[in-house]
Amino acid sequence: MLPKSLFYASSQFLAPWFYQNLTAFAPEPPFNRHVFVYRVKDKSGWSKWDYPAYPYLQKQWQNRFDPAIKTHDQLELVGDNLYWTAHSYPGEKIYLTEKGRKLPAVVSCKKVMRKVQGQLLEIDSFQVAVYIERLRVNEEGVLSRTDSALFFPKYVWDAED
Amino acid sequence: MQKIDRWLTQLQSEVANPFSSQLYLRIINLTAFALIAWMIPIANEVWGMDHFVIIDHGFTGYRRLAVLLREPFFREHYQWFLYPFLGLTGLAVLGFSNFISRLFTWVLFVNLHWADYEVSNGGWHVLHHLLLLSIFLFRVEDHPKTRVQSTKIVLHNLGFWFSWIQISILYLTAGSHKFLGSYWLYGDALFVTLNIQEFSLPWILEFLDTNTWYLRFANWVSLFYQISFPVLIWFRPIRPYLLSIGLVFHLSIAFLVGVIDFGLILVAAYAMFIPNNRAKKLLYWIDFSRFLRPMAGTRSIKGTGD
Repeated sequence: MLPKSLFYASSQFLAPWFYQNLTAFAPEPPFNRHVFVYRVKDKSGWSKWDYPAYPYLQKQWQNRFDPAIKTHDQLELVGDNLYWTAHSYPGEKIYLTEKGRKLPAVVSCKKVMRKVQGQLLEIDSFQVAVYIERLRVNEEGVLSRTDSALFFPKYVWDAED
Repeated sequence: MQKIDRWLTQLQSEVANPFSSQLYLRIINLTAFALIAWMIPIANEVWGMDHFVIIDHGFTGYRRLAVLLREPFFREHYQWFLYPFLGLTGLAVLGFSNFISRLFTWVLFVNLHWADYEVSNGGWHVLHHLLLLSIFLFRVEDHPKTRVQSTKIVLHNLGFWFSWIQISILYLTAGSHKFLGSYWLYGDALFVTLNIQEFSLPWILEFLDTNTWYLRFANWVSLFYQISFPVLIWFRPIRPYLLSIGLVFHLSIAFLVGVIDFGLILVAAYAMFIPNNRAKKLLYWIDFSRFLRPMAGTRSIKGTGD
């Protein structure tokens, strides 16, 4: 609503002490979902794709007061970060190369893997992907879902990343 | 001119809704206490080093003091923020707070909020600002004898009424933003939201493949509620009916949509609208010291004076 220059000037003054993101109040529904999934390779080959946020969501379905939803929200954000890393500069150029495993979004994926799988001593490579679900409603009020995936390349597992 | 003169006199000599403001102060602190305590089992992820979100450190100078928990050193010692916050809000719930303790509570809250800002929601944003305004909710009596007391009354009244305005701005912005998109206008927003796993429940997901009249109705009622709230809340006879719609709306967000913290923060914020006489009775019932006074053989003290 404010002119752009005034908006930036006021935001600079207000953030972070008095910052208020009023657009956070019930905006348009999030009709594009970006879900983080991954798989790892060890001596027995590639594992199945794992959706690490799902168990936390299930916990909250069983008990609305379970704080697992806050862990779930962080894991959902990992999916968003991966998606936007692959679609914006400089990540879009880097993620397809071996250097991609050092991108912050990929490093946070490895943190999730460590949490889910423990020490991961036997792993020699891993792959992350974003499962993309798009929801749309037609004029008759019927919902349609389309899904696709954004695959990152297979990276070597380096415990020091 | 006379009206303005009378209003200014009233602003500095009469405490607006003193019992409402004291009850609201306790409830908002109880909410802050409960929500922060709620996340203790996952504290290392929310405020500590086990976070999955990408944390940057974009502020310098005095602004840095608001985002200390975005720095590794402080994240390793997040307990320095967490436990004092719980202590201060806990005391405020029991009725023990003053300007300094409320200021400190707010500073700690700002840090705790920014530590996990990426997954914060509107509820935390409004709590951030309500705690700021609550700093000025002094306990003072009408008809001040000194300039300091008079200043305290002005600050109290401004803090209290700005809390009302804060909620009004929140709804006005939320409502007007919805007009920029199409889902709320066509009545599809609630239907789409309840079809997203994280904002729904398995039994809802199973049967909900077509939009229904009752979901469209609920969609437009919530849109109307948000747009009209900033005007209607100032009319006393309408207020209870308006707030009842709001309670249903926010409890649905908490338990159906599953954004529990957002729903509960907004329900707690409604405590500021509790009428003064009812707040007085409620305060009497929750004041544990009334059980101690007769035992000590002392006389009950009436009023809200410090």
